[in-house]
Amino acid sequence: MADANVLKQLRTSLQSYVLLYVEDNAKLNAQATVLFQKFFDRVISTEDGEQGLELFKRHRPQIVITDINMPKMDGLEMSEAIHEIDPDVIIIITTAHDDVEFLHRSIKIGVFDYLTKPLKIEILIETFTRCAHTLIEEFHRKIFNANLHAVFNYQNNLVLLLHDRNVVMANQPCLDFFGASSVETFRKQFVTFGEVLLEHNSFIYDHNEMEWFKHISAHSGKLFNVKIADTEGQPHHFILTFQIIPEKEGYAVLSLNDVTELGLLKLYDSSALERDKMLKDEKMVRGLFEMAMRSAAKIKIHNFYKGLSIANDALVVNIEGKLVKLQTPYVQLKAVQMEDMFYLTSELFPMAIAADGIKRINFDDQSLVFENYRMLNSSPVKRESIRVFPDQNIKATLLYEGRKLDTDLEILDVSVRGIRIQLPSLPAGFALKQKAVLDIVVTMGPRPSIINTQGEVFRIVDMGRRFEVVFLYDLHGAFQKTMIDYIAKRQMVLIREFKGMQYEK
Amino acid sequence: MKNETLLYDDGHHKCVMFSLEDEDHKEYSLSVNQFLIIQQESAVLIDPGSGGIFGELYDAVSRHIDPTKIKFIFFSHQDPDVAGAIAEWSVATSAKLVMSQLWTRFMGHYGLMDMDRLVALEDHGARIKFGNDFLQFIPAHFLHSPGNFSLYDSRSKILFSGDIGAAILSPQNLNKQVDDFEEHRPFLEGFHSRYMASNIFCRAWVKCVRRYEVDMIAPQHGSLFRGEMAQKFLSWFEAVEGGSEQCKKLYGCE
Repeated sequence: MADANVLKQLRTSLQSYVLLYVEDNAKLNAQATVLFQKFFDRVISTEDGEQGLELFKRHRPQIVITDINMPKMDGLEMSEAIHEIDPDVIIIITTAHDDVEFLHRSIKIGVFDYLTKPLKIEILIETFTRCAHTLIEEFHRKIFNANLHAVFNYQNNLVLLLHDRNVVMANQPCLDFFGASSVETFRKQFVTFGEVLLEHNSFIYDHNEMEWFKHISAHSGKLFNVKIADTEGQPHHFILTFQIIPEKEGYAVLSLNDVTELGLLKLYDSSALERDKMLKDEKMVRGLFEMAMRSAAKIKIHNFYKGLSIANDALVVNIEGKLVKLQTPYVQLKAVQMEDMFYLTSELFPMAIAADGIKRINFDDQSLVFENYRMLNSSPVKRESIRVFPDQNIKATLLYEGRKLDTDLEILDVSVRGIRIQLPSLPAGFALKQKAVLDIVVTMGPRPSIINTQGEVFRIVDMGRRFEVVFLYDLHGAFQKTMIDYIAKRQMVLIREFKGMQYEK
Repeated sequence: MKNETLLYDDGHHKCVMFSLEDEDHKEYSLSVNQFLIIQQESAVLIDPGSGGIFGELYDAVSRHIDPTKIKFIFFSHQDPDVAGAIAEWSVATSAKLVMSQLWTRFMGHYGLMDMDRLVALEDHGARIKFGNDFLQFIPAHFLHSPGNFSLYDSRSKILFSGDIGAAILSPQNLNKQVDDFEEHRPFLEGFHSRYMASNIFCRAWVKCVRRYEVDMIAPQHGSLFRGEMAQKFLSWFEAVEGGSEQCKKLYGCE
């Protein structure tokens, strides 16, 4: 008798499949059905080929075991009809005779195996083991094919189907790139895939704080930059995506899109001096757009309407000379129209991009075309807290070194962390990191609330005839609640204002 | 009524329930619960409720962790007792707001137009890494909201079930936990038969939940189901008949 563990494992592999068993010997049929039920949860049995074909059409089993000589329709005729419907069905013929003609017909039909009766358990287990292997390969092939359309946008994509961390399938460009003669060879190579990911600033590779596979598998659907050397040692720049396949637990598609020829690698790992030069290089920014377009990457587009952050996804859909075309929702197009500029960010980009020179906005196909773009050294969209332009319901006075500043003070924007004000002149000795007392009066109900706090000078910008000063403060308790309340309400008003303007011509 | 309950604490990971809102009834009140998960220096806030309790909840959270350390705020669905303070929380923190993709287009009405602040959950849910553990957003659509999720915390093994498990007027709500399921059951029945869309969804949800080891079910209203009570609740919920099963009774004009 076979090893209990082998039987258990075989059952685990086969139990979810449906087996059709066709045998006209009633006694044998009953006995074998009981045996097959030890491996399969569903065994459908019948005693003639015609009925067998009907049951096949109704239940669509993945495996059929059939006798040959039977009334009405013989097993081989039935098998032929079944393979016409679905050539992937595994058919196993059982026969009492070693008949060469039957054997030849079986081969022509493409049966999986030809077993002599009486059935021997060892042979049956061996056949079922091969069945299980074929079925799982077929299952993988189907998942792979079903998901290819999503990742085969470009010819140079290297595509792998993974189950947990193991390679199930890999496409030919993948095998070629890694110099693997077969999927089997590549499977062994992939065990140490982390080692082929080369270190590069902001790219994915194994280091003290990151294990590449853990990182990408925790971020399904995201895009990552990776650097891998080819068999000749030349570094390539790839965009890696890892997409979990829904309802197929443990399965995922990993794709690598080669964007080396865009020459962007140096942009991510350059000295400050080189970087400053590259920031102004429009061609380099266009390379980033090209990379985003090829990877069908969702990038973010940002506007700030009186401080109100309006952000949505955008797709680069076309690049023609200097002109770049984006698709983004209606509300964002309106914000762009009002501001005449916008910012773009992406997990793939080394820094934020500022864009203007808007040539066309098309509300019908929700797109815009623009021609000026540059990278920014600091990101204007990375705000720790929401900043809004104030209305008349908030006023501030400033006390510096015990004296109230008499000059006109205008609030430019305000957040829970700080305030930006405009002054016609600065008091003597006023400098960064110095402290001042701020009295901020907020009127939201019948009685005004006063926020009295100490602010630290964070930034001073000389604007020629005036100065902009940013104070940071640390609000607590009622002061903090008042400010949160004011900003939340102000946001709501700005949203209403923005939406109202959306419909103005 | 005590309005703060420690659900789990292993020194590294902590789950707290706040019950800051009450819907008062003649004899018993129905608490509205908000939850906080903390792991070291980061936190997740769950169903933070309406604008009316923002200040109180902010202070309550501050007693455990600086609210600016909140990484995610999860809204199981779009009801006002869940999502009414989106504007305030988006100003007070820089957290990402996690919700069904179905509700993201409403964010302008809640005071937010920055879609970059949102994590829009696809229908099948998602898993996010949280320290060395994970948080699993489990689909709970049509139970009762059409875009609805429960949240499973792998470390504490607590399932934050949203409206699923709410019991109205149960005397056991006073203890914040179910001690006798059979006694509590009648108070579950009315709410679930009226608010759940169909038994099909109840069964699908239980099937999804059973993939995980659940030690406690923490609903947004009413009492906690601990240990065996959680299993009893799942078995009971699997058989709940909702709106579609009583269409005739509800419409009365067929």
